[in-house]
Amino acid sequence: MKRPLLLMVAGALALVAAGCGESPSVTVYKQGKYQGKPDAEPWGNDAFKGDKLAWERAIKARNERQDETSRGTPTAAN
Amino acid sequence: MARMKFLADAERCIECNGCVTACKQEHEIPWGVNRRRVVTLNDGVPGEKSISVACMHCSDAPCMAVCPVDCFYKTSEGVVLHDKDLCIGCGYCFYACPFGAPQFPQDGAFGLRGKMDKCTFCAGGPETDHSAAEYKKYGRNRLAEGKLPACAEMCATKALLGGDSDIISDIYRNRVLRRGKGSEVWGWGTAYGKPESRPAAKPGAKS
Repeated sequence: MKRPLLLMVAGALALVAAGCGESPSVTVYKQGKYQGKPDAEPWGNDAFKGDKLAWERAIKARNERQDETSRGTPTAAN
Repeated sequence: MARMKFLADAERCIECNGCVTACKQEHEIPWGVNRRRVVTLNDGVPGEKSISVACMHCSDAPCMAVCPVDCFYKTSEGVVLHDKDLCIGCGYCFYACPFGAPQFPQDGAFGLRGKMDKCTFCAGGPETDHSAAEYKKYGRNRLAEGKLPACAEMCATKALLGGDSDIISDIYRNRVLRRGKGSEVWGWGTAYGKPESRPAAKPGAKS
């Protein structure tokens, strides 16, 4: 008499505990590894001849030229 | 060097489509492919807002994650590029992209879908810099010339900023602090000035 009751309680407990085991349903994408040709750095060409600092200076100057508030007041640097 | 990003200022954009035209002209983009486009919200309603949209070169790009042939790569400056020789034109990247950046040229009698084309931040592709192959497949490589994307440099109102994310964020932050955020941003007061707020001219001073 006791055994079936125990089995039933154990089964009910197992069902209740199963509700806690929820797995995340949001898809997690895994980045693949690039399979194509390697690309050169933007300073590794005839224009900059591998001079990364010169390229960074050129890009920085262009970046700052987008700010019209500083463009009207030339400084020693530009 | 920080990451290269675009920043679109909806308060400044006047929907002139200069960025779209600059991009088309710079890279000789075929008909039907729009690497950049201007989207307007509440078109025709006072206070409408326009924004220039292209590939935003995501830090965690979903197109890279879903590509079945892994043709995407990210440069050391944070620009998301792809190898057209590998692309199979499946269109997965189009569904993954929240900005609708990937474009597919359609050609032939059956509207055959070609290899994916998207904004390259004017950084070309994996071909040799400034080569004819690079220009044909990806367009001009302005970054390797020490220049920024043509769309951002062409923007007349500087609504579209492009370049080093730290610098363009500073430009935008200063701009927002100067212009405020309330009724002074647009409307009659802004369009026709605020004579009541001008300081009175001193007698004898030059106007």
